[in-house]
Amino acid sequence: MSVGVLARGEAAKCKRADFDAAARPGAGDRTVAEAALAAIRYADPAAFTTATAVARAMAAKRDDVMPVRDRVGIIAISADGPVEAMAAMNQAAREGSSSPIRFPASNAGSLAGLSSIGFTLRGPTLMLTTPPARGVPAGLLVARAFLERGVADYMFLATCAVPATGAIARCFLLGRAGDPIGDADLAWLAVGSP
Amino acid sequence: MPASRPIALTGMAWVTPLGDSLDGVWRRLLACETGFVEVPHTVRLKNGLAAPCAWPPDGPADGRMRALGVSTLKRALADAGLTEIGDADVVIGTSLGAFLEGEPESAPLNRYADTIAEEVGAKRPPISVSTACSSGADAILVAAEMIRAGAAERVVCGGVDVLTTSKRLAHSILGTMSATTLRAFDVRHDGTLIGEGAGFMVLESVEAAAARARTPFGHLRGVGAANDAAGMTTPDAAGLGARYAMERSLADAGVAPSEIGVVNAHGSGTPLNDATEALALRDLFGAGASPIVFGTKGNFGHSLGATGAIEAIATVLALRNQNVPPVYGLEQPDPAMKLTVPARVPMSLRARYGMSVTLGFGGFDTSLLFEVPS
Repeated sequence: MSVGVLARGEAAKCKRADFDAAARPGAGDRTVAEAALAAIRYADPAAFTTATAVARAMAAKRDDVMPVRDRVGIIAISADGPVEAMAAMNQAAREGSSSPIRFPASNAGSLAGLSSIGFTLRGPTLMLTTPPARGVPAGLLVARAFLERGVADYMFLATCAVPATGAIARCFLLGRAGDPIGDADLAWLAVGSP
Repeated sequence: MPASRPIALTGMAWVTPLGDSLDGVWRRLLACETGFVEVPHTVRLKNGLAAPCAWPPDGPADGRMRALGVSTLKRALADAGLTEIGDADVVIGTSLGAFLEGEPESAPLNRYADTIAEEVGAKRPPISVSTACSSGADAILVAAEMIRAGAAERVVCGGVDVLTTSKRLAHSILGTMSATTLRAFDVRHDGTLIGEGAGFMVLESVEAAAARARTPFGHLRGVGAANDAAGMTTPDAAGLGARYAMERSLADAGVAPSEIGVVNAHGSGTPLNDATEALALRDLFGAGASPIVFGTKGNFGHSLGATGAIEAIATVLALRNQNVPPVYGLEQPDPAMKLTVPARVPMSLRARYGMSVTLGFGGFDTSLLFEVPS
């Protein structure tokens, strides 16, 4: 069975408003899980950037993906993670305090989790903290296995790097069809890798 | 969907607050012992109890984490009859607690895993996983997929995490820390308490294990994952994510729910987790002959990124010994849970299949299904 790329998404330096704009299918529409997202008072910019890349990859296939969202998964890959929230938690700990808002956001898995919450995706979800150059092949292997076995109908494979200039994320929407995945595709996805 | 290929489990090791030998810790679990002690702290916590390991000694969190990982990984290899890591790959899960403590980190998040793999002589850099409290279980899931895909013949996989003031403080402020003690599935459950530890398994293709005439402990038969898609810290009240993860591991293994004899639940002791998990288990197994459900967080504390691997080992030991330890702190099982949970004394088991279930912040749900012939 062949697994291929159905769509791509890319984003940089995003905030909640960027994700919300990318996730809305049309003017006046609401994101699927607006209530759930409203309950998230804060998420790291890396998480919002990753989620925006996911939303942009989904845009062209939304009508196919959303009806089966219990069988849509995400694998996110980043060796940088939620840099801002982790630094804030580290600083707070050094001062003998903490934050119930920053703590959940400092979870590296929030880069995958935020997209799942935003679109109510209940497929298999993973977060690899391996650098994208070697994390992408591993993530693709697992995504391919989920698709080939029929555990998932669609898988998002997203990467995020956080250089000093701000978060950059790229994403493939994978399915049991689509364009074959070549070395150039893997290199494009391995954002931030030398 | 046809069942996936079984994976041979040929070695395992753990370091826990109750010790580091498989049989010794197992005896202490059956005796319902706990590792909770008052752990000194300089900040205001809801509860001073936590479950530290006796080794490594006090020191910076990153050094303790590395030492725990290296030591446990090497002992898992030895348990598998391997004197060195050879061509085996490494997959390590952690919740990265050490990153939130001490000097601010500028190193990439994979640094711990890379250092551990280098110190044990791995030939290739490791895969690192961070899915909060599901990290250890997800490391095992990734390893299984690598072997099934033919990308690896043998993988050492598991999780490691250390006790940090930052995580204890965060759980205090978040409201998830118990003010008393950890009592999963009890009417008085009021939260979790933090622990630390490491657990590693050596997984191999059945052919690789046979080629070196190694009789496996058992087999990893199925893996399943899902997301709650409900909130960053809040589980889905309907338990859908947890149920999907378990259903997917059953389908992967080609095993019926009625064949499952024991489930090592996440059992964090927070009222929300326990209720959600119980609902998912009831929905999946029905009210009839449900499996025995147990949990080890009252013994070990919640070791966060390590807990999924440690609990997978406990599941295999329950199947091997055909005995399920009582849940520490369980005195009055919550009747609303409607689960078969051993309290005070162990419960005997007659089954060859068991599941280990973990639920993590960010909505990560993971289920590992093991078969151990009796």
